[in-house]
Amino acid sequence: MAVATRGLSKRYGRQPALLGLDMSVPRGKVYGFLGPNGSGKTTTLRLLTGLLRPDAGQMWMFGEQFGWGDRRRLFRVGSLIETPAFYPYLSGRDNLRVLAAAGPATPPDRIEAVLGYVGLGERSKSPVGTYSLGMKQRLGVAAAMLSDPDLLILDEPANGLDPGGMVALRETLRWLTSLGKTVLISSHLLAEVEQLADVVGIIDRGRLLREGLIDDLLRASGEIRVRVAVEEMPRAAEVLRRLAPDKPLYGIDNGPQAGWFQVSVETGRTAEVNRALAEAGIYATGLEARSSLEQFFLQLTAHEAPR
Amino acid sequence: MRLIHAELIKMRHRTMTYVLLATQIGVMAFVFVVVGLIVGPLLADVRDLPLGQALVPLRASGAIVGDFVFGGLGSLLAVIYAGAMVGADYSWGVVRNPIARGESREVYMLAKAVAIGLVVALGAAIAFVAGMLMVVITALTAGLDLGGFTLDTLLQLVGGWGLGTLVLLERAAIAIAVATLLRSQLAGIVVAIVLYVAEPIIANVAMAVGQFGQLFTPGATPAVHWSQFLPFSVGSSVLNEGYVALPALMGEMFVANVPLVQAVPVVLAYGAAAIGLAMLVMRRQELT
Repeated sequence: MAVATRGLSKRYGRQPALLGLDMSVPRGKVYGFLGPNGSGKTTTLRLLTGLLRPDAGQMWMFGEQFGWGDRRRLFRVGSLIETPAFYPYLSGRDNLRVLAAAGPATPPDRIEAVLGYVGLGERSKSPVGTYSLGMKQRLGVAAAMLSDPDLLILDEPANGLDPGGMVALRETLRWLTSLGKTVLISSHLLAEVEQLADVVGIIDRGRLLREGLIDDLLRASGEIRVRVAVEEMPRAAEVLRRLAPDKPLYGIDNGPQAGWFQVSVETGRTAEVNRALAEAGIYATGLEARSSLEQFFLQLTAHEAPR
Repeated sequence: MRLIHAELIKMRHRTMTYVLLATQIGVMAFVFVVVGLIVGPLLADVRDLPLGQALVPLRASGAIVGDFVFGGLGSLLAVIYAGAMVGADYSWGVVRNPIARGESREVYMLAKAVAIGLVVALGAAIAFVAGMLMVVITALTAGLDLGGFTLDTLLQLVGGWGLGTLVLLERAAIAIAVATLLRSQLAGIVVAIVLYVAEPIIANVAMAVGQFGQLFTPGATPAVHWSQFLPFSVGSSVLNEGYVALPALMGEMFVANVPLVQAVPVVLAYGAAAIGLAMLVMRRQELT
């Protein structure tokens, strides 16, 4: 594992932020770390990067357990935590120069290389105070890549990026994992994470709700929407209930012509649903398998109103 | 060394570095120009007047320049500068970056303090030399005799410059500790200024209360009061005893200055303690 935590806990005064977090980030993968606002994502990333001291629990990085004072593990880590922070009066290049002086030794030509990776070569001599949010974000990603780290920890790296920037970020992160690097990325952009991540962990109220390969999680959490004639809806409901007795079933009446049923079964059972309806003499006019990370995320975290 | 160099890059590019130095030299220049152009010609025989005596001999003018550079204005600017340089790391959130790269927190703070010290000392040296040049220009403008330019006077000026720099660095170190504790550029500057202004007032009140009887005792021997060992006050003793400040010209009134042999180690101890405190706080600080 690139990163593992067991029972990781943190409080801010009396306010709990993490309540025994157990997470495992496999090496060489993109790990999408998801959660609603205030769920504990950034606190976790700050603990991993030595900015905060845990109240309880253990952390491992590349197989070795570490504590608050073990800073040398961070020589293998590049991070962008929360909003990118730079000296506004220094140029992008000078910001990276002063940052390169801290931590592991960084060859001078590495600065030009990372500026090139994020497409900031031309503006690298301008003061950061004149940069847009997206440019600062790109500079933040460049700073995280500065020491050619084995593990990249990126907190909302796509914030403020234009579509081109997001595609470029995705390609860069994919390229890094192809080199064997591990990427731990927290994001609110679920569609982006869905395209990028191999593994996701979903956190809420300081606890990890679910963790696993993204394909496995989505396969188990799909929904199927069935469109039938309105007069067939009672019988269709019976068939669908028999098919998935312990799953929620929603009926959506869209007017006199046809109605929708939505049943939460694995998306791989679409043909089975269609056959069951046909055997009951009900011919669906529409059958739609829906499965998205966003939907899965909302199902898991919908137990409470937004905070 | 890498970290100190990086800190120097930050300070070299910050406009505040030049604005404060320009303020220091500008205010001095204004005063000397006023003295040279107005006071000199108005007073025909200025050499015989206290102002002329204070201004012209290099030893005394060194104290006037020293008072500007290391005393009131210079110390205030050093406190503002050191507080701003450390506080900015927190206000802009950049302090997280080197720590998240695995840099030692204590070493980072020490490197920052050393770099600030270097810049403050360099700025003070530039201002001191500029001030002494202004003395010469003012004297020439006012038609005064510089007089007393001997090796002894020069050594005294150099000694005063050294003591003044020591005091300036101690005061900057206190501002570094305050800004680290408060984690804010503005709060660091404001609180450091408040301390710098408030401490002598408290010391003076304490002295006035403690030495009240001497006000009515003709010929009483001035004594050192405990409040003169407070961080900023003991620095003032060093400046006065080393003839680096204007009050030294007026002589001792109700209290004696702390002797240099005691005051210098105390100033050094305060400076080291302030940097030590800043490093300790940084080591334990959670960076959100």
